[in-house]
Amino acid sequence: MHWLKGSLLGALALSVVACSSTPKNASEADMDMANSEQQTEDYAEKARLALEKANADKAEVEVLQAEGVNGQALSSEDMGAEDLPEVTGADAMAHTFEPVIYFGYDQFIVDDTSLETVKHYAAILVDNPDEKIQLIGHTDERGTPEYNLALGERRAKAVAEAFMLYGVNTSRIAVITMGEEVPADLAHTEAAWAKNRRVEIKAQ
Amino acid sequence: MLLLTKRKFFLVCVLWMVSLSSRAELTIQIDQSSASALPIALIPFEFEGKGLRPEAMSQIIGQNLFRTGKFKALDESQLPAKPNHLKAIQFDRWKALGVDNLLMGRLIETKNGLYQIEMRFVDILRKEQIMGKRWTGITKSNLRQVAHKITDLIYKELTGIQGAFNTKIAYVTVKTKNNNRHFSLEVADADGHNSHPILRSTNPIMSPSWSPDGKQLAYVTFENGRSEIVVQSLDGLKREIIASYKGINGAPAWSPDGKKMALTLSKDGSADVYLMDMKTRHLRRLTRNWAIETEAVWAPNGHSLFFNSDRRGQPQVFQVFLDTGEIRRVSFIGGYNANPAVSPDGRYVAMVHGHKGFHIGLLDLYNETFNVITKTYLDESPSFSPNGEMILYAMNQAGLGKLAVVSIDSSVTQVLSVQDGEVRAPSWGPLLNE
Repeated sequence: MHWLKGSLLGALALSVVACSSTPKNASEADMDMANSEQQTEDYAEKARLALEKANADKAEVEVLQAEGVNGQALSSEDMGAEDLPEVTGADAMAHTFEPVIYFGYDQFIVDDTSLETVKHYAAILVDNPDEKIQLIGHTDERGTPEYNLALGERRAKAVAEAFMLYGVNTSRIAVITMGEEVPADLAHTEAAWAKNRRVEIKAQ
Repeated sequence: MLLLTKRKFFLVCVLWMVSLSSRAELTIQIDQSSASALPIALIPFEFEGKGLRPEAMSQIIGQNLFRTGKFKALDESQLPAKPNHLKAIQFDRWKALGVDNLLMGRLIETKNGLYQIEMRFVDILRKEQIMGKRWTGITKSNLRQVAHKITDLIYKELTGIQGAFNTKIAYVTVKTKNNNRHFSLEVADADGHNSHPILRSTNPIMSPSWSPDGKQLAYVTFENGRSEIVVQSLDGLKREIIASYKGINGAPAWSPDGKKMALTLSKDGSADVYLMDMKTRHLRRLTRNWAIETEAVWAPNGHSLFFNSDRRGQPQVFQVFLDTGEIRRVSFIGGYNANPAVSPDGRYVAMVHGHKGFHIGLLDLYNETFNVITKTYLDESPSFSPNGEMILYAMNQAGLGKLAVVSIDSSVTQVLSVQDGEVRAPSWGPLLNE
């Protein structure tokens, strides 16, 4: 996914744009010549199907999480601002990214693990320029409902900024907050609260 | 195409007050009552009419008084007599029981199926009637309301304080059926009886706020997939989305004169407090800060508002003055103070105080003292009774959302719950002068 680097490093981005007419071709142009366009599309298609499936059947996603499928995403390398890790097409295909970003209590920081998820879906969006997403922010039940409504928006906006960092235009992102009103887990436990502090990535 | 989920069809139905099916009656459990409650004699009202007496007036009044923690009606079995007029009262017998005051009355069914109610309130020490009132042409369904008015009169006589017995509360119930949550915005009498749904939705309902005349509620709905503010009349004849801006539309709060509404919008960036002119719908931005600023409530004089801001990193209560725009911090104790509510006399600010859990804290603006007045779990959404004596709030007990009422001196607590669901977002309605 060299285009990612390209989108973040201005000079490189310019050179990429200069030799390509569409974003998809841009990524292709910047890739190793051994990677065919077909492969690029396969990757996008697989990731898209994973996102579709995750959104269509949430329970299944939770089962997958319980079985540690996300472990691969969790074990991804550290990422500094100046040193963005690259996920190759093959790697991306092997991962299933739950389209959810989780947060610490009263926090709205998108951590490194979550950035991998954002990067994954941002790549799909870059490859599918007509698609738009909703980022739906949620909080746990602690604290006041109206403050949590604002906190949910703050989280969704933090994720939106991460998407923008990975080259997705703000016009393609709708930020929505549900506050504490729509918990993923209705229990009143720390474990439930951790699941509820989240931003869901959904197609518009 | 990357379309994953079809836009959900949002089912919302507005129910008029006539709907009596599937009532969500609140049941009250009084956890704690003051030992210093004064005894009072409430003689069962004489009933003249066909069949069974339609309401136990003296019981309703007795329960009302008991919930204040200040009075305790003698048990009916303890009553030495059941006098029905002044001359029948043997004052010494009542005096011996430590009773200073006695209420007696009559409930008469009239020809047209309506009722006449008479009450006489007697001072045992002075041996005289200090109050006598009669209501005529009362429907059966309004008998409880008359009992609440009688309680107001007695309470004012005994304490000098305006009672809040004949008032309404609004709240949201949540019931889960087949893994789907059903939300209902309900209006009930302050004692939890007479509940009526005014809105049902499969999407959340938040933050009901009463208009000062008690005829309308503003609230936050998600029926279109995101927060919007609706104003709805209690008779269900009028319902309008008044705020549907990009971002948050939340925390509606009517000004004391009913002409403006404070609300939280994020259309210009982060959540900020705005004022909407209810006639022109013109907006005025009240706070400008990168932080979250929300949960605004009006000071009773309408000259300032209290709100929650996390501009210092954590939520704290601030006050903004409308004439100068000056903003000052109000809460200083603890790392989390949010969702302020102002007492009707402007003296107290109740707030959600986060320190070893979430409780209701009460700031006395006169003495600058701060006390935590609740001991329940996950307390939020405080709302003063319109006479300022009690605070209604939401909490969690045994994993279920319930409402509770606490006196501002923390001496009396009641729990209000629904049988098959959860209750939240309470708001105590205004005093109604009729």
